[in-house]
Amino acid sequence: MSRLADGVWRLIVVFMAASSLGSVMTSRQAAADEPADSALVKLLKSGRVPEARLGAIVEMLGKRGSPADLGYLYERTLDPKGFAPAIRLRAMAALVEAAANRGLRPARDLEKLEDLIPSGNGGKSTGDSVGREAIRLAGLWKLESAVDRLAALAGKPETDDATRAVVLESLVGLGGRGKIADLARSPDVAVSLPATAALAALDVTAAATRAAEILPAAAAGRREVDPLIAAFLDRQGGADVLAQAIAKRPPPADAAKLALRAVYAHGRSDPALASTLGKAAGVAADVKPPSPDELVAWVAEVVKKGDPRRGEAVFRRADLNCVNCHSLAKAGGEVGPDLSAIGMSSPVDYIIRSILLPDESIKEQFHTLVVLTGDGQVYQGIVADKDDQRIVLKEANGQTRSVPVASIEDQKEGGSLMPKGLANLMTRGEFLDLVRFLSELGKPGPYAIGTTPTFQRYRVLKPTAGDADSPDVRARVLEAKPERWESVYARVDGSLPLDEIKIPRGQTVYLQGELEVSAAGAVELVLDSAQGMALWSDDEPVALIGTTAALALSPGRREITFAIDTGKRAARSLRVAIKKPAGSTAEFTVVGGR
Amino acid sequence: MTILRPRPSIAVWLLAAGLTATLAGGPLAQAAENPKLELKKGDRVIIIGNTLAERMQDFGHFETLLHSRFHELELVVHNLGYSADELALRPRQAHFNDHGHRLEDEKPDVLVAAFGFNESFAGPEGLAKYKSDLERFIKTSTTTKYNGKNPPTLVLLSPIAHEDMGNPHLPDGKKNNANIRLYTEATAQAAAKHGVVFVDLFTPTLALYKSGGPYTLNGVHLSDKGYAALAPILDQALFGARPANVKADMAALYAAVQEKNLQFYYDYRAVNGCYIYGGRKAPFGIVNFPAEFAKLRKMIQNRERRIWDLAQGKSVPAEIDDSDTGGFATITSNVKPPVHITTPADEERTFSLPSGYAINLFASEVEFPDLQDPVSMTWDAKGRLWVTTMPSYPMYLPGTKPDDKVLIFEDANGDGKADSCKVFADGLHVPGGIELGDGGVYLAQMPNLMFLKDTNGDDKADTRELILHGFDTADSHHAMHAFTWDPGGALHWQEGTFHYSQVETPYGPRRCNEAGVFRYEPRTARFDVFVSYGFANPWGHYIDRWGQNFVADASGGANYYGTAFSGQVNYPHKHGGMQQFFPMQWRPTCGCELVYSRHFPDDTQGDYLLNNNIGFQGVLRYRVKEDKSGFAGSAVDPLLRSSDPNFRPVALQFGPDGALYIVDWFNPLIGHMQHSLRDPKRDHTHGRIWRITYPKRPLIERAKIAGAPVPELLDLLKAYEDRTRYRARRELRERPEQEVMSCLETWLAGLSKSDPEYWRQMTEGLWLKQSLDHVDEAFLKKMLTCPEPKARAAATRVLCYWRDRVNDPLELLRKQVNDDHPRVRLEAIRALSFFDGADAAKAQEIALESLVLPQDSYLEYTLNETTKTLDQRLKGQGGAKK
Repeated sequence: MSRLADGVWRLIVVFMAASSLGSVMTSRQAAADEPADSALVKLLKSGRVPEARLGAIVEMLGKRGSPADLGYLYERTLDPKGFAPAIRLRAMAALVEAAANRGLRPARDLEKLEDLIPSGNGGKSTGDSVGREAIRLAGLWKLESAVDRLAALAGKPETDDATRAVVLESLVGLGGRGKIADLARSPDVAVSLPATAALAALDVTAAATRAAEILPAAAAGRREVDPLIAAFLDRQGGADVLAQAIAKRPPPADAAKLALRAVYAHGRSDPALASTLGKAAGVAADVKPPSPDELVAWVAEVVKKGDPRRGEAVFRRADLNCVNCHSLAKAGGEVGPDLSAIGMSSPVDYIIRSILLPDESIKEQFHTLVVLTGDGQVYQGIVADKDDQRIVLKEANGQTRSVPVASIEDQKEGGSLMPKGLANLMTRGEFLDLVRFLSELGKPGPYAIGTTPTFQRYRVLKPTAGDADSPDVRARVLEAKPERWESVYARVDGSLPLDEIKIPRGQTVYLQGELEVSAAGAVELVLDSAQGMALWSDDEPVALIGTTAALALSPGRREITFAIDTGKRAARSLRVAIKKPAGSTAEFTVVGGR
Repeated sequence: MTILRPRPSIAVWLLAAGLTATLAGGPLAQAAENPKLELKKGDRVIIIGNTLAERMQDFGHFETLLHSRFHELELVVHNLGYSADELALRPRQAHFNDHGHRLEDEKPDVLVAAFGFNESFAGPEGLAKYKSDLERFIKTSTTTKYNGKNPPTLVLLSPIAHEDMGNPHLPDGKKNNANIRLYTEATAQAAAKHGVVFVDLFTPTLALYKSGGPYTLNGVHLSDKGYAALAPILDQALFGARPANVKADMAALYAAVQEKNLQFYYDYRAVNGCYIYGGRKAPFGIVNFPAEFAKLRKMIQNRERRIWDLAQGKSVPAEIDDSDTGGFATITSNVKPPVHITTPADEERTFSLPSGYAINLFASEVEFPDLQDPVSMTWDAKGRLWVTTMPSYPMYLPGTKPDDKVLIFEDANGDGKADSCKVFADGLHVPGGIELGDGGVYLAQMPNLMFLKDTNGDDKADTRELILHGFDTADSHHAMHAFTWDPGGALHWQEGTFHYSQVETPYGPRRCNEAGVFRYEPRTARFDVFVSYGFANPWGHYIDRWGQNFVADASGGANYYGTAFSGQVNYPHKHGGMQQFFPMQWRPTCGCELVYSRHFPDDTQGDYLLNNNIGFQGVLRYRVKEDKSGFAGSAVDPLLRSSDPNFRPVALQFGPDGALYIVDWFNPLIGHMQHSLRDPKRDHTHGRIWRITYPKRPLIERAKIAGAPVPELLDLLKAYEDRTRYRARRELRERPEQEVMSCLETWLAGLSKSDPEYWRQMTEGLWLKQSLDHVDEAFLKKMLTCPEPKARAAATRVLCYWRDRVNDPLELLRKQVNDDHPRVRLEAIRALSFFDGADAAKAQEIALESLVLPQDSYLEYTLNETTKTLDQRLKGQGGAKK
């Protein structure tokens, strides 16, 4: 009997209980009556394996090793001299994989692991990766003795967000419902919010009540709200429970809007939750799909009234999430199909139906799977990979989730990850514009696939306090940490609207585009206007002659950095074409993606 | 009226027929009392089972006897046989059961079931499972009132025996027959226990094979002659001696049965199920298909009436009158702007190429009106271009006769334009792929592989034979395409997702769910899944000069280094996620080719060409570099770009003159899902072949292949152009085996060791032996240890396919796993995935030895895949080999 209400569920054959790799070796050596080393462990002990290859063996032990194999790995991991730091981390990841996917633990005294768990009291950095893997293992191995220590770590304000998230996940694994409920009551939103999300897995009703309480305070931004809402969507029946709690305690319109976007961004549109949030947010009711006659009229209206230029602006709107999943001209999200030439293959009526009824026609390789775990979690995503141990789902936010096959109780084919109800966030005019824009993509004209490559994906440097004080561009910009750069996308024609970058006029905007060069040679960057511009190729400044910068590029990933003095630049956009001068031997591709 | 006829026991009948069961183990134990098969007026006789059952509809001899014998009963006979079906394993595409052919829909009064052959490959160990599956099947079949009134009368047919073809390249059947006998006995016992009608076909076919053969294509699948011989065996076993009052003109009746079966097949095994009853039936299919299939089912009824009339000796009109079968729904296009069909000259003006290249029209529908929606191509030994067309695409309209074609174009004066076009075969249905070889033409006739032959040299197909069955057709553009020979004589083709294919072979059933690449050795009748991977729709497979594979997935635009994921998996497992060998630019693609033509500029040699069809319409180009065990590509300037939205390059290949030929399907609408399959704006009448040259360089002198003496053909294996060697190898396989083998030894001995190409030429020699199925262990060992790593890698692949015929293959592979070249190690790790049973543990150990040597992403991937496969087998979870 299926535990999930609708759809056709297929029984899953659960493979993998214990490893044969271990057991085969064991049986062979059983005659000698000695503890068996598997071929892999023998290899590790032999000293024949060069350092560079240890990682691959360690990973294979995680995938295939027996509890005895894992025991050897565990001991060597605990030994500070056992592995070089990078291999030690891979060894811990392998132990995590063995526990998560195969439910196997090292055949050893596991409590020694606690030495690796950070206390949060100064000494160890809480952001240490080894520490985080140890926290994960504590949860997977059900180390009851670690509960208090983990709960304390989660409650400390100085614990960083990533570590807290791992701690809470482990506490869920350990069934620490009381501890998590305490944390959820914390006055510190940085603690209460992830704790409330974690609580959803153990006590969804209490979590929903608490979520409704803290939603208004949490609604400072999407980063905070999305994981909270996702926790309920990932819980069997969680969306409905949350809808009830929110109906009892409706949030302000802005918070409701953010929460609704979070539902959509998760590729979901559960009716009760969407309508409760929609009501609180003051968003229009569901747009009904047109009848065949109406569809004909809509198509005519799109052709008559739709404006592709305005439609492109709708497509780029943050609240609609289009660019997070779909790429245009190779730049943008990679969850849904690339839409660069959608107008060439899909007529207007088909595009309208695809937006209103995303589940109706799904491109192959974009079908989703919905899995229900024994713990009552429900995950939906495109199957990115699967084998006998785990299924890797690509979720709507573009991230992957590995679900152990052994944990899956039921599964069924899901619909599209594209949320229903997007049209509710648009006026009718905007909808017509959007459809018109999509229907022009790839057709000869302004939305054709370009013949001259342009930068389509830039990264913009997020300003931080103190930037203005430092004149050193190299340290401040060129060597800035990757997480300080955020993706922005040019329009189809290659122009990047500078007004969409939220940096006050008069300040300098730093942008980066990337080229993947496969054969060295000369390349020219041709700007639409040189006004207010300075640029660097990797860390070398490049002169602009007129609007052109001549570069000699060597193979590899090349970063081109632009500084735009917005006070001096009249043009409100930037377009950079990349050309090959006559006789150039350069071969390159423009780096796109998310 | 009820006919009751005592059925003589099989043993009695065999004696009466002058045949004796002379199996080594003695005659089969027979049930003491064989239940009688009763038939009533209007009974629905439904046939289910494996390929034995499926092919009964292609050769309706038994059904003809049945109707002629019981002419007053007006029996409805529907054949639901399905290639490689087992009692407990009948994989089908999604929603297959919604099409109206479940037993609940077919309502059998008599259920004829032919199982046990595919199960028998599990041998004595699998017998217990077979027995319990059979118990369950008998119980269900004899208690379920499918017709709403009473359970059907069940008739169990045993498998037929395996025929010894006397062909050293095929199994002689001894091993299979021992197993089939066991499974036949088990079936007989279960039938006796439950009082179910049972017919032993094993014993009488074994006797039949003793003279007058062959009766089968490959030892296990009956030919027309085989079914003609089987029909009376089955008929008399069920009903006794033929009655005197047969009224039918048997030839006319047989033709009528065949016609009914053809129409029923169009219904039951309709191509494009996905759009008819499957996941993509809305919004378009639900509009047009209900009327189409209502019509088809009425047509089937008309044909059943005709069968009864003929059986009853009545005269029937020459033509079948289908005027009462209804019409079609009116479909309007959802494409608003009018489509503009460009002329060839207009289209040519839309092309742009890098400087130095030129493009010209080789052929179009203007000069050759049969050139409609061309889709695949190959060149013959005479330098002529063979093209398949599919104006019926996406599928024929019920009530019409499909008329897709195989065309032969000849450029007799070498001016780069076709001078003539011959129709080799017509009346075909969506022939997505073609290859020549073995004296005929291999052709996709989904769901089957067809072999056509011109027996009198007039360039027209005289015989057509279905040689493999069971390729799914859920989506016609996902089915059976991108045919290519590998250098060792195996034919490869591909299919896309949604498909659940299963093929019966003399070596056991082979299955693949949700996309893969297939490999078929015609000489040995071995068929396997070459790559089982979750592609969207792979359409493109190029095998390079060293036998390395490149596979293009059309729909998503991904391109893969194929060797790394061509190891064996255990059905229904698939290979895990695989990296692409260069970052994809555009999609959807269709067809790939490497540049190996001296007519093209030097710096383009080895470039990977890839057709692309939407948005960017043209030929993309990638520079390919050796990268440790595999390859890495990077984009360079495209070779061709068109601004004509109708231009759809779907196949490309270098011709004998060194120019590149491109098949242009030429269609304004190509989406399957985005428009009705019946959208009136789909084009069915245009098609073009384009030719790209580099005029500053001379063309290649066409190699003489047809009619060339064997030594000259062998010398062509030294040619620079991949396609010249490809065509020479194909020709050599058609020459007398003895002559080729003896010339080959002379040729090998005469090769110059100082030639830098020496080891590649030696590799060609090894491949030729492989393609002739001539296992030469000494030569293989020499190649496995030769100084050229690419030759060692190629030899390791050959070892994989000879593993059951050389001594201690695992020890040979242990050496290869420790080779200093990563590609040799990759091939060895791949090959280890093919070991099973007692060898699996050792294979596993050997594979792990590779970890001591340097790794790269492909080696890690393949080791992981091989380990996974072997691990499952060691745990007894291996299931079937792919």
